[in-house]
Amino acid sequence: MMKNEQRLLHPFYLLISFLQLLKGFIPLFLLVVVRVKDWSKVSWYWYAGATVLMLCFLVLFVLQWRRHTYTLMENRLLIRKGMFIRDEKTIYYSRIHSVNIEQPIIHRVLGIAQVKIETPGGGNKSDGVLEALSMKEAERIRDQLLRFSNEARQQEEGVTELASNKDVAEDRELTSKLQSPIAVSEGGNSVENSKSLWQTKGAAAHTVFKLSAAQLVQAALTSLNFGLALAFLAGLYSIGNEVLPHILPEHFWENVVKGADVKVSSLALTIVIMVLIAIVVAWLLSILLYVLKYSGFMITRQGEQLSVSYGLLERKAYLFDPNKVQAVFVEEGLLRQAIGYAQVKLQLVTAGGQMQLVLHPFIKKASIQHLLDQVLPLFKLDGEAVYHPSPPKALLYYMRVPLLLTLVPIIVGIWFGEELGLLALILLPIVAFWRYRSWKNAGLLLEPKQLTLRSGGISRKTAIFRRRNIVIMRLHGSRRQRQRGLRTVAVQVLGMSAAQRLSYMSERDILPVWKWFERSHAQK
Amino acid sequence: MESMERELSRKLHKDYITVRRIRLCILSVVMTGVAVGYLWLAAVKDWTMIPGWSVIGLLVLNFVFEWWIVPKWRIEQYRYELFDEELEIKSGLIFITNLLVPMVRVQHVELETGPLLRKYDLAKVSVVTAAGTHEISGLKMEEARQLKRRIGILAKVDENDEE
Repeated sequence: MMKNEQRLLHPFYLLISFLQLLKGFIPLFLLVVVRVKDWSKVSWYWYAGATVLMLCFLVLFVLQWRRHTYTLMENRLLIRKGMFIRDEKTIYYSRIHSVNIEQPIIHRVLGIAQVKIETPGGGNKSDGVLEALSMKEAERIRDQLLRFSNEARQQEEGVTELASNKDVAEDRELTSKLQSPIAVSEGGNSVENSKSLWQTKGAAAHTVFKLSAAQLVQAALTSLNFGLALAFLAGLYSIGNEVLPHILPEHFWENVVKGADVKVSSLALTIVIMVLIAIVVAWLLSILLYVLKYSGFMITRQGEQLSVSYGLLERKAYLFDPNKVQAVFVEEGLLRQAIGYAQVKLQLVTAGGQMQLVLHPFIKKASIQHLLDQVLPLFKLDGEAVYHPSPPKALLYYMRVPLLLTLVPIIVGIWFGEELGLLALILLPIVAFWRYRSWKNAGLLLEPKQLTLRSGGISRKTAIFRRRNIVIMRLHGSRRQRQRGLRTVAVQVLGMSAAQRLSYMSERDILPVWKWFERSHAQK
Repeated sequence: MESMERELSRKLHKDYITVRRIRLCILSVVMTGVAVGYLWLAAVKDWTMIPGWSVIGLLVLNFVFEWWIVPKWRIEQYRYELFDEELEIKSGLIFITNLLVPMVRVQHVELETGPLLRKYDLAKVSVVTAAGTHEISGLKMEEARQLKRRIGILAKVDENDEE
């Protein structure tokens, strides 16, 4: 494809617009279906009217499709659309932040894709969207846009980089060394500025990693995404609450309750059984949702960029620059700790604001270092390293306030619920166990360019920060804690909505971290 | 043993205590007015008096706390210092927080002042980073201006250093 050629979207764009229109009409359809008792009594002109209306829309959509064009200009992408209100969007290549290929469910069925072009700031509105393209075309557009944006950026040297330390230069060197085979071929491409290049495919994407079906199932079994599952159940419950009364015979629940012996003990038993059932259902559901979300998970490398794609019904691909990764999080749920597996997430900065991207949903802890070496050589996770623990005297602070807070629901429960309220006492050992684990998990590792914070009660989270990415650092501590030599540290990087905290560590271990982050001091 | 923490030298200006107290008076008067209004309405309409009295009780406690304790501790304890490469702020009454903002991370600096602050020739300096806004409120205008200028220079110098 040449520059300056005006192109149309895939014809399936018509179908997609049409389906979206139908989606808007669903409530009306439902209303009609409910209201109309006898279809033979409906006059013919209703059918005729509906058909004409649909035809009008069809014509409108065809016209809209014909007028929705995109053009790759010399230094910008131009998207024109709109029948009555003309809309022209200009995106300069040098401003392109990322280009993502997405496949929502309809696109997936039709075998096409949509391309989203993100620019910094402005939120979703300023993003360019090409709603329907063939897979091939989508990939070609993405590769071209990325190549153009790299070229444009090279011309505008000096504007792009924010950080300036020696660290950065060294880091870059390291990265390019490790990626040298690809970097060379890419470099060759971008130096040669001939038009023939635009006809070649983008830098060959090579697969770094692919999640196998067996791994996917294992990952799903150990995922325990209760939050999502419970939200789903709550949704089901609220729907059920509205629908069930119409289906079940009247007084169904009253009879059930009357039928059961309403003693406190049996009521407690019922609650326990209900909770157990809910947990099992939530677990099964979380497995299903997990498989849907992460099937076909793979990481590929295109030039210097990494691409992560996954999804069964809705397929998404995220393309990012490994140099822009702000932090790495390794998360181990309860079940996964037992079998030595973890999930790896990245903190990225995108046009839409903060974003955490799953780099690997299910990886053996021992292999994380290998994965990082392959894709993010700047981050290290030493499995053998000995973390500084939280000192024994800190256990008091881990336990005290949470246990006191737990007493509130317990007292309320016993006051109002009497015997049944005693059930709330279960909370006490649970909270104590959780806080004990939090204390046990707390750990800190300081390396010349990297700070690793490990925390978490039920699931363990290891956060890896590089010094040059840290935006601010805080130390907290009450007067009493300070006297006893305990401090809490909080670290924040670009794109994180809340700081990563590590509570009640020994001052002996925290102050070196503070000194490490102090620049002025480091020079003296 | 070497002292683990460096001492920060700069403080807020004493006049800021007065400003805080005036603000407290205004707030207390307004809120008391609201509470009295409610009590009056409650007396007429025969509603419960509890919300009105509890608000007044809270206001009295708040007044005592903010008038005597807060200025003594929170403002006099407050320390900050601008080093060549970072800004450090130490604040807090019982729970003490140290904050370190590297100059490379500063996005921009703002100088703000309101009618009350201006009357005492005071101002507020806000340092904006990707991780939020950090304020130093209650500096003399001249000092605030200098601080703002210096942060601007330090943050900018670093940006140019890049090449």
